[in-house]
Amino acid sequence: MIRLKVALAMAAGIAAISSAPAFAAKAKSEEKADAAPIAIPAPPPGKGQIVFFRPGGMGFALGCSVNENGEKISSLGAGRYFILVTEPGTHQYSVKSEAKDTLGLLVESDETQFAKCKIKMGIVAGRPDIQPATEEEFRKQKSLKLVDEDDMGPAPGALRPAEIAAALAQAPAAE
Amino acid sequence: MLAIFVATILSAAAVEAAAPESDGVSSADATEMVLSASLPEGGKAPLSDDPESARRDITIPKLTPISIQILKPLGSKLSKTGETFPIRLAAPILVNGVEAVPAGTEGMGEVIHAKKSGGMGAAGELVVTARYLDVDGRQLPLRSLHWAQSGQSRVDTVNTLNVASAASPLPIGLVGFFIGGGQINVAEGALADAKTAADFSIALPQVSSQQAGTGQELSEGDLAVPSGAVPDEAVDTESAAADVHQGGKE
Repeated sequence: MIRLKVALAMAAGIAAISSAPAFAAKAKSEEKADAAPIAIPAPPPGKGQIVFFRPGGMGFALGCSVNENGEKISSLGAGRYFILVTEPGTHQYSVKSEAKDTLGLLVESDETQFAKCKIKMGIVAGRPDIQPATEEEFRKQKSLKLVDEDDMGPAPGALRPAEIAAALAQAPAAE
Repeated sequence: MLAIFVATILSAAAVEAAAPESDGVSSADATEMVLSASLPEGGKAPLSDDPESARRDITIPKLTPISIQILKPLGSKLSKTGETFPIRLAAPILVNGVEAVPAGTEGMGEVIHAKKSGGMGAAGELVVTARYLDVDGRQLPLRSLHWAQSGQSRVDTVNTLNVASAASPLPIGLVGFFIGGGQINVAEGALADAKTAADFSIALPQVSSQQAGTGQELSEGDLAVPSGAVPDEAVDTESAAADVHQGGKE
């Protein structure tokens, strides 16, 4: 009986060891799936859009809440991004913590622009710094994830995951 | 008898003159005939005395790519948000091979956002756009000048210093307050790509008889035949008529 138990335990151990590479491979493939290029839908006709993102790194615990006219569009944690569809024209986006930083952007119809938020050193706490960016910079970031829906500001604002999926289903991804 | 003979000749001439209208020909054919009829002896026509009638409209389509030159140095430290700057068309705008707007046409751009670099590694920022070109006293609106950049950020360097500072008894992290980011500068004469923002009709002057096509490869401009004037060479009048007809629609 004891021998049988030992044999069963050994068999279970061997099975676990042999299946470990399979688990690792599965995890890797999931990782690869995560690392697939982020699909950004084209903006609706006559509208423009901005992709805000925040590279990972220092100050990951600090928030970078993007606002326009005092109204929150979305929080932006480290390694996150969100898409804002808006009217063409000049817009002022701000981030605020210990100090306020503002970025002016000219949104043009049927075009996608990019902006990034970085956390720089402050006297008491880190300060968010919002800057213009390029698609190349956005694509360089590894494993960016969409901001969680509950971290987004009141709708309509940042595109919700369902809205992105619907937009991608309707039209191909923006170039 | 002489009176009858004269009357017969006159009536025959009248019937001949009325015949083209009664044949139910297309408007293009009719225009061709009008053009043919307007050709004086030898196929040469004088340019119209009326400058307005010697012009025709062509349309520059929306989103036509153009190249512009920035005529003033710009920079994240140098420029201020909202300031305007002169621009110039670097290469002519062509529509079907015809020069619609010549190179050198001047216009205006605008600084949408400028922020000089700051302490703690913050980079300078500059966002500029092209607003319009002055064409025949009107503004040809422009868009899509993508010059939204930030300078070299040294925020990561400062953050690394902070990490080192945490592990060191010395407050080396304070050095970060004196580390500035890079500025963005645009040199005078820099070239940039933009697009036209809307359809824009423009009246082009009639080509002179010396400028007209040689009969080899005729461009749209060579075929421009507004009322009373045609190029002096062997013009494909059917194409010319169609061109005039198209011009008439605009």
